[in-house]
Amino acid sequence: MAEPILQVEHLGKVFESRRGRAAVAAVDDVSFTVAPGGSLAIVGESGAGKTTVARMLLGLETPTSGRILLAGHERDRRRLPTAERRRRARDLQIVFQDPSTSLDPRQRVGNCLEEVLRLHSGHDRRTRGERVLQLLYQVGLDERHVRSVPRQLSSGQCQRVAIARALAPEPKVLVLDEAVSALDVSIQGQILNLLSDLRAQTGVAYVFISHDLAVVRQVTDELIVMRNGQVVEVGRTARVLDAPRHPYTQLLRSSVPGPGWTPRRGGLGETPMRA
Amino acid sequence: MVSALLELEGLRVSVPYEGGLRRVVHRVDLSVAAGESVGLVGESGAGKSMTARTVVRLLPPGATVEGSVRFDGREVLAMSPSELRAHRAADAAMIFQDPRAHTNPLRTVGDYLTEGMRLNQRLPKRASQERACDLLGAVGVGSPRARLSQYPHELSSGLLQRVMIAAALSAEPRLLLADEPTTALDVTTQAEVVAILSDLRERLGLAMLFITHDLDLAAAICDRTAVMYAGSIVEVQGSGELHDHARHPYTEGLVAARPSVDTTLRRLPVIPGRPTAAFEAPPGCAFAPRCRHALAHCTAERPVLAPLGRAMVACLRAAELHPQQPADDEETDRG
Amino acid sequence: MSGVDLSPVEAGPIAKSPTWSRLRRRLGPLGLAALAAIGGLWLVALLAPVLPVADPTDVDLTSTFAPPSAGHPLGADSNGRDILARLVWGARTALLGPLVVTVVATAVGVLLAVVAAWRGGWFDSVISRVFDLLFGFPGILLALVVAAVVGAGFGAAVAALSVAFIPYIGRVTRAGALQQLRLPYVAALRVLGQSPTAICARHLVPNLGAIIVAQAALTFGYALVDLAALSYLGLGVDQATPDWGGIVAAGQADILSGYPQQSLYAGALIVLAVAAFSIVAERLAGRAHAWRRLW
Repeated sequence: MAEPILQVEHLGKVFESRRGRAAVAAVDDVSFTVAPGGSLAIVGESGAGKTTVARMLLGLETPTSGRILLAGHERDRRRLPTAERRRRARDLQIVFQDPSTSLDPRQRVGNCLEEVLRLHSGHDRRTRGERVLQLLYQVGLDERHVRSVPRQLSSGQCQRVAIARALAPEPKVLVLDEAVSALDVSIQGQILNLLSDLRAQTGVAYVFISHDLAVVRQVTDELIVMRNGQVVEVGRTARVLDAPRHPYTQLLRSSVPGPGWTPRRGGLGETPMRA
Repeated sequence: MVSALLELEGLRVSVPYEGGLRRVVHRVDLSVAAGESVGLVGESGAGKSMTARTVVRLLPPGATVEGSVRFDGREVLAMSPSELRAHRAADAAMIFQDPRAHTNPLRTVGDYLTEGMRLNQRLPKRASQERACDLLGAVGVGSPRARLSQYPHELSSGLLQRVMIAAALSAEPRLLLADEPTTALDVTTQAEVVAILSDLRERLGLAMLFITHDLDLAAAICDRTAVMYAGSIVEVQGSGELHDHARHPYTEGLVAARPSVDTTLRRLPVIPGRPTAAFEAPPGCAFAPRCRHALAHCTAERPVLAPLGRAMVACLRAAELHPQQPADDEETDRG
Repeated sequence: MSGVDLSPVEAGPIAKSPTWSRLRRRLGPLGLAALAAIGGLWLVALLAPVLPVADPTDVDLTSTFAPPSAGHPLGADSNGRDILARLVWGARTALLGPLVVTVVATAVGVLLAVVAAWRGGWFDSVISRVFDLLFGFPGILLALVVAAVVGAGFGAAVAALSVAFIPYIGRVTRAGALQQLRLPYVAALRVLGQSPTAICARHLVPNLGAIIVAQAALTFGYALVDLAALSYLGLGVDQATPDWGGIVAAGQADILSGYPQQSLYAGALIVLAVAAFSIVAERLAGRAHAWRRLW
């Protein structure tokens, strides 16, 4: 196999104890790799630590242990100066869950994309304008949307803009944090197809965080299951979902509603009390 | 034929928006029999939440409602304030998607549960607390006595949702209106909560109107499912049937657009465009602009729910697209 | 082609009502009347030199306490000066002072608030304590202290009030900024490599616009009252320049003589101006009705 584009080794994040709360290990010894152009799912329920992993990948949170290697460069832990952050933007980008709050509500779509292009490409104004249109077409929008503000767009359209914005710096890896969870079913289907197409067209790799096993099956090749900050199972998506080995994965798989599914009580017991 | 516990007839709802009114429920006719569980499935703007809210008249200020909402023969829309209070307390109870938004963070769980009992049923404090503990036990909350003195922020969402269900049951309603109660929960918690609801329904003979965007979930726990689009019902069928033999193009599209946990498709078949609300719908069939079976007359005439085999479908081309099998005619159709 | 988003249902963006009619709806009839009143007062202040009124400093001892007439539409004061002219010219200092106070307090307050919210930690603690400290000094008290140190005068009064009002805008803006900074679009911009200065200036502050403008309008009203009070006490504008507060003070003795006009009119104008600003501020800061998001 070719050199992985993203390598995470024994990643850990401990939130220190504060005012009566014990120290919490939100992420504990997590390791995974993503092949160039590959697609990895991080699956788990709330509190599993998936979002903390994402934030560490993005440099929004500093790991307390382990390391992250992207395209061979180590992403170190210091607080980053802006120039360095700008360089890293071309390595890894993110699409968030909520389309309505992940865009600046007062900024027009065209300006939003242009701002990103101004930061990363040396193009002149006209070329930037062309590139903005190119990005919009790529995500299934068009010139009508250039002058729109997020309020005027549906959630599906907003999410497409967010994807376009994330692709503008031409990153090698795209983190999708529950990126389709807030969308209607029919729109979700459109966006999932879009994501598959984009990966084929641009060769970008995905780290797809989700709680939805069906979505994950559709769009990812590999999968890791997290629970309470740790990885409990790893493997090819189809294999893990068809024949889960870890009891927690089996529980997750059996909790998915579908034809012939009957809900049963006493599966997990009640969720433990949070401090 | 058993008379229905809940009957919605010719229901139309408009809500205020920027100085005017917008239609969100175009026309709904639906009935729920005692002890029956009916699912109401749809995407954003379908009007399902508003439909359920009319049953307890929990609508935004300035909203207008036309048509009839009959609970056990009594017209809810014509009830006086005191009758409405009694109705909300004892006949129909509603549970919502976000338990935190519907519980007072400054009051304990015990207060939340017992308030209704003390006010409406005039139970003394100790008796109401006993009853609260019983209810918490029924919904699977451990150490109920300890829970009574806790505050909402000390409980996880799953637990709090169960508390909300317990509160809804405290007045022994005959109908439970569940507005996406598990959408915000983890999938394992969702399975638990859904199991609790099914269990309670069986034991107490509760009827339920379950709103969700998840067809699979509705298929699992509802006897019948109604699919809504742009403010009206487009299909009603027994839940098992709906998944495999959807009759309305929208339902078919919805089933097809959802990825499967068991198989990977190269591409998901999608419905183009986006879901609309009643006020955005064009004349004629609201789904026509997105429908691949649409013909000229679909934009001229608005279809109404009509029987087709064992289903009710609102599509002008339904009979044509789904030719009847002899087996379909064996049972007389029920709405 | 992926994700066909161009079906007839999606044709074009949703028509949105223009900003002006949304503003009109927000303000309501009372808010619009208040806005008109404010506009009127500003117009008068700006156009004072060209308005057909008498010279406000024109002392004419033959017309002391003259009743309303063609030459003196609102009558004359104890020195025979035209009351209307003094009120019209008084508008200039009455409105200019608060304007400077508002601009300075807003600029400094917003800057400190944004830095505190963005940096957090030590910066936030220090700036918040500075705000708390300034809160301890009501505007007038600070002005008295400044007057004692550098001597009375309009400039000193304006400077003192500018400082005193910083924490009001600062605190509200900081709260709003903290809320905005939690939203994902800020994280997205950081990950995209945008500099903190650009994020704050081009994204954060514009999104706080509504809060800042509302608070500024409120500040204007309070500053107006405080400056008038200082002039009344003799610490603001010097005696010769017409100023509403000063007019109230000057006319005080005359009330007992049976000539309350100048104090009354000047006082009424102060109340009108402050009320108008308060109403507009309150309406602008109003929040969208939560029910809109139900379906």
